[in-house]
Amino acid sequence: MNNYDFTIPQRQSVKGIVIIFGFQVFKFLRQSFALIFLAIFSFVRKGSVFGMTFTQIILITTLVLVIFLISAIVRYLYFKFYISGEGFHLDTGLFNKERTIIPRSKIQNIHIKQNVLQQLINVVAFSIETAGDNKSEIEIKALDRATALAMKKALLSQKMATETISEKQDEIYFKVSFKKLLLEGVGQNHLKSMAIILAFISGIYFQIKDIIEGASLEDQLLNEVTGNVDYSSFFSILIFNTILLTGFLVLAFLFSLLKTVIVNYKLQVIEHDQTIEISKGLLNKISVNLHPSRIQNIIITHNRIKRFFGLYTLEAKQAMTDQKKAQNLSIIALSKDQIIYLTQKLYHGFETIDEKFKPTFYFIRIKIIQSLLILFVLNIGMFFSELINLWVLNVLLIPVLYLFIITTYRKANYGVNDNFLTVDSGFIETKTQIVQHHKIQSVVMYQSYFMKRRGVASLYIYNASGNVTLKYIREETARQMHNFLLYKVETTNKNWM
Amino acid sequence: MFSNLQITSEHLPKLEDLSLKKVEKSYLYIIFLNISIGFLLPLAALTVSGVLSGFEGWFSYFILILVGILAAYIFALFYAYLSFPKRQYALRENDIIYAEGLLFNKLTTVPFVRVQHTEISRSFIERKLNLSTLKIYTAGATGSDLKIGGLDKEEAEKINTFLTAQINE
Repeated sequence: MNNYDFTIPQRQSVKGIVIIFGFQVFKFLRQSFALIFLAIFSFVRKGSVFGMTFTQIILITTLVLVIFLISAIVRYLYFKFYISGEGFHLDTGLFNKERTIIPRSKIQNIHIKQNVLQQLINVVAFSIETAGDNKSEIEIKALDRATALAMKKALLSQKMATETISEKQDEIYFKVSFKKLLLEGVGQNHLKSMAIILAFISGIYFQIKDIIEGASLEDQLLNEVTGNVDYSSFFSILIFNTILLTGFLVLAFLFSLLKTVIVNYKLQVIEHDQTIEISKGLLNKISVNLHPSRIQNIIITHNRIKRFFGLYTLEAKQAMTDQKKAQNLSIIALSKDQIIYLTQKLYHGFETIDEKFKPTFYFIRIKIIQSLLILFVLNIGMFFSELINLWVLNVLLIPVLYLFIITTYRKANYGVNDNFLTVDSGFIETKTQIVQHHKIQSVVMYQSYFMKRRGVASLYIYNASGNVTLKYIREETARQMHNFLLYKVETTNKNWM
Repeated sequence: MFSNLQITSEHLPKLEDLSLKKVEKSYLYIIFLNISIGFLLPLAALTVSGVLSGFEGWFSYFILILVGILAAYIFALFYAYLSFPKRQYALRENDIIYAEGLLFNKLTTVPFVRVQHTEISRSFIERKLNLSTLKIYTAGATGSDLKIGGLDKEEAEKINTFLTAQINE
């Protein structure tokens, strides 16, 4: 590893030009999606776009691409980095020179990622994550893998002198099998996928709505879809809706299955001396190091189906990582023993807390009021809209809401011991959050007038990755917990990070 | 439920035994002013749009809306007045506490060891009333930071100096 000298400023791999170019084109395509759609549409209909001939279009496209290429080359040339004693330096910019320095102590995490394009030309992206805001994040888009690994080592090894990634090749603790991956995909929350698909479809619809309306396509479309349905009959509506719903469900099922496989393809957990490394992904390959001192919250989830197959998910939240990245820090398809082992690896001395306490009856009262409100609003809406026979929904909704209330109450459990706090919750999924006392940043006790009258209070416990809530517990308990947690934070000599 | 803990809860310092300090009375003026501005802006927007639209008989609607807004305004002032004494704070040996809210009471505690940095801000009116707002930031997610408005200038500075000394310890 001595042949890498990071103290002299250097550029990324020449292949970086291709990557930067690709990123720019992709970004451009995504932003001008509607415009391009419009252009293609008008080309198909009229044979010309905005009164331009085919040659002209080709010419303009080429010009745009050339501009992108030049800008990619410039960006490549004026992008230099090096490592000094202080930390990581990055110089960018042709006209606006910019120098970013990340001190070693501020480096939270180093990710090595690969998207499809990067996989094709065999380079990796190297990104440095800091605890601060997103602006201070750095990404080198193209490095060959050996350089990236060497640089990661150079940045991390000196900093974590006591916690060095040991020289010996560390063993693979866990590797997901394809069968388990598929099972995991089956056990996903398909309703969530359905919501994503619906949001996506409506998003596209609103983007191209004007075009469709302009071409009076909408009526045609509506006729095609609904033409053979007799609206006068209640049953045909029911059948039509059932088919539509089933279609969406199948789509949602396939979507979540595919998503699970793509995101978690070849998931591997490698155990180092002090840390755990996760690598996974088909289209976007990532590799992340989880460091125990950085982890603020561990979330363990499972549901009925996943429990049946013996599949548990462990998600580790680090300080300030946003939702999108947090997704990548989850390990799926673990057995119960593996979950406990990994949790203990990340949280030293963790043991499951058997003695739990529940929220008060006030929890149920609030859920009932919420459910009644939902029913009330829906029924008012149905009453005033002219949609017939929608009241059938109530027959479906009331049992679901009833189930919601009793299940969420049954699953709400809080446990505490000397060093850890666990919060269980969930409706379809069962979710356990585990936080460490010494990583608490502040504690808030909340009590509304109605809660006070019934001797109930909620406790919000904040750490650097968010908060956990002990909802609607007895006021007396809340005060005890508040005092106890503060005592733990104030008497600890451990740092939160 | 705490039977398995090393420290029994009776021995812990209790929050409820604490006597909290109220913020300066003159801060109520600033709260009133903020509420007034909050109500004045939509009112102004309504008036301008009403006049400009030239809508026949807008004035009768305007009166109706005006009465509604005024009622809400008076209610907001009254509620702010009633909940004002609930704005309390206290410093302990190891943490700072701030509580507010009449119908919806919130009590926040930040241990000194977790304070990242502090900030004192003074608006024009605060300067006139010799008041300061003290902000205490932690590394926690949004919602974990403390903001205490309506502190006497000297008091705020005293707390700030104290906190800074605690952080640097």
